Amino acid sequence: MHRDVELAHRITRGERKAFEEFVDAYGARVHRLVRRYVENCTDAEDVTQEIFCDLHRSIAGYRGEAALSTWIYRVALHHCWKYREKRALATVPFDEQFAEAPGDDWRMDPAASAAKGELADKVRTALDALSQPHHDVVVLCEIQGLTYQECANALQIPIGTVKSRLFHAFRRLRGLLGSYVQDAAVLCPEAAIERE
Amino acid sequence: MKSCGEQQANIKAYIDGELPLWERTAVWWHLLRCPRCREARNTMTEIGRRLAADDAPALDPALRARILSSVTYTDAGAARRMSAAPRRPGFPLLLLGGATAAVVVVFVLMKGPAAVTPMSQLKHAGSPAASGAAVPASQTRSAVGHAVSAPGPPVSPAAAGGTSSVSPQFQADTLAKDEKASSRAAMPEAQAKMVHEPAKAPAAVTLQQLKSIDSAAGRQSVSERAGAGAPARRAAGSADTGKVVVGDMEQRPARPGADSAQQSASAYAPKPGQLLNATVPVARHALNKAAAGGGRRQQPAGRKQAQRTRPKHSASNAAAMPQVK
Repeated sequence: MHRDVELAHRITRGERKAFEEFVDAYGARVHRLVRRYVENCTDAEDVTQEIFCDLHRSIAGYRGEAALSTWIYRVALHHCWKYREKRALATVPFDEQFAEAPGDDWRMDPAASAAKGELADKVRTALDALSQPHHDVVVLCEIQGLTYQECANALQIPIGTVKSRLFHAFRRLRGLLGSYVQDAAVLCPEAAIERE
Repeated sequence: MKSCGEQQANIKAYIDGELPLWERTAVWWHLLRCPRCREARNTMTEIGRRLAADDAPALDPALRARILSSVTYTDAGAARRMSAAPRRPGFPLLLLGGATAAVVVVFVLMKGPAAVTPMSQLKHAGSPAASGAAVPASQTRSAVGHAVSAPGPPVSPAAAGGTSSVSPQFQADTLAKDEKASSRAAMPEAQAKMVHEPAKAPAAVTLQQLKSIDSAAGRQSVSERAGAGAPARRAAGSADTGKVVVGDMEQRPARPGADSAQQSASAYAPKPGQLLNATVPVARHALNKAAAGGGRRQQPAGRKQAQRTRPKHSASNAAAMPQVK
């Protein structure tokens, strides 16, 4: 926490190196978060840039009451919500730029690779079909790897609400992806081992 | 012991390690005995793994450079400090304007009434037609707010033709200054320029005041001393110098030698006591008439009469109209 406050103070003083450290530490995570809300890569980059500009402007207001990452996620989520409201999209259309590039196993096992890619698409589509509160907790907890407490701080909700939303979100995801996940588990060796 | 449905609500937290020890033990015990909940656990684990699978490992270097270039660093801190300071926009300009105004005021006060009374210079230059309202700077300043009703500070004795209703000290000072200015005012071009040029400082004086000054001195009135065309020229000169109230322009009896320009000026003259804000074009009109023909052509006494005698929108009428610049 003390390190976060010191970094924030250095950025407030206008140190270029401090802001570079800040971008290196949180840039990938923020961009990953934005990609879950913004449909194409160009817009995602624009929103990420706006988020960091806003963070640089308002970092003087960071008091160290929460972790810096929590504060960053809160700001980033506000930008993402604003983007979604502006676009008024119920679901995010598939963007082929988000699709995974075929890996090396594509030549070894084309069927398994195709099934894996299809599953990734289905997971993404199902995630976008969730309601906004459920989507938020899934993105923060599962994709960004935040703890329940950090997620609760970022969304400013009780921790029990995070737990409940996460459970309901996963129940819905199971309904949407159940068959695909079971099939993929059969095709995916790690999942098959885990199932055994 | 919780039911299966209650335990399922904790399965996700169990997977994520977010349960306290005793709840985690309870869920673990339930999973050992319930195949449905084990299936749910496996599916949730797989979905979570898939969700986190396609994350970008690092920030794109191009995007990183874009973010870094979009923010100003050292200047940002300085700008924030600058914005914290109280802003006083235009303060140097305000200071400069105040200093300029002070210099102008001091200049006017040092020059005295001669600086704002070109007609007094014309009078001393020997021109019989040059007679106008000469107003001291103090009266000029006071006349901006209340043009007529201001009590009359001493009118320049040069303008009043040496009348001595003012204090002797003031009269002596002004005469000394007018002697210096008389050589400059001797040129006819200078006279015309002074008459036609708008005054630098506004002045306000009533003809009633001039008349009272004259009568107090026991001399001729201003209008009587002036030659042919003098009232029009006086009206033009005084109107050029600012707001003028013509108190008795129409009531004054017409002299036998008065020219047509005077009649024309009196025809356009406002009622007694009315502010003569718009008299500049009228006075210039009369002045042009006087300069061009000297009253050889008889002008109609009023606007209505002019409309009756001349056809509207005729080319000859337009050509005959005086050119007021």
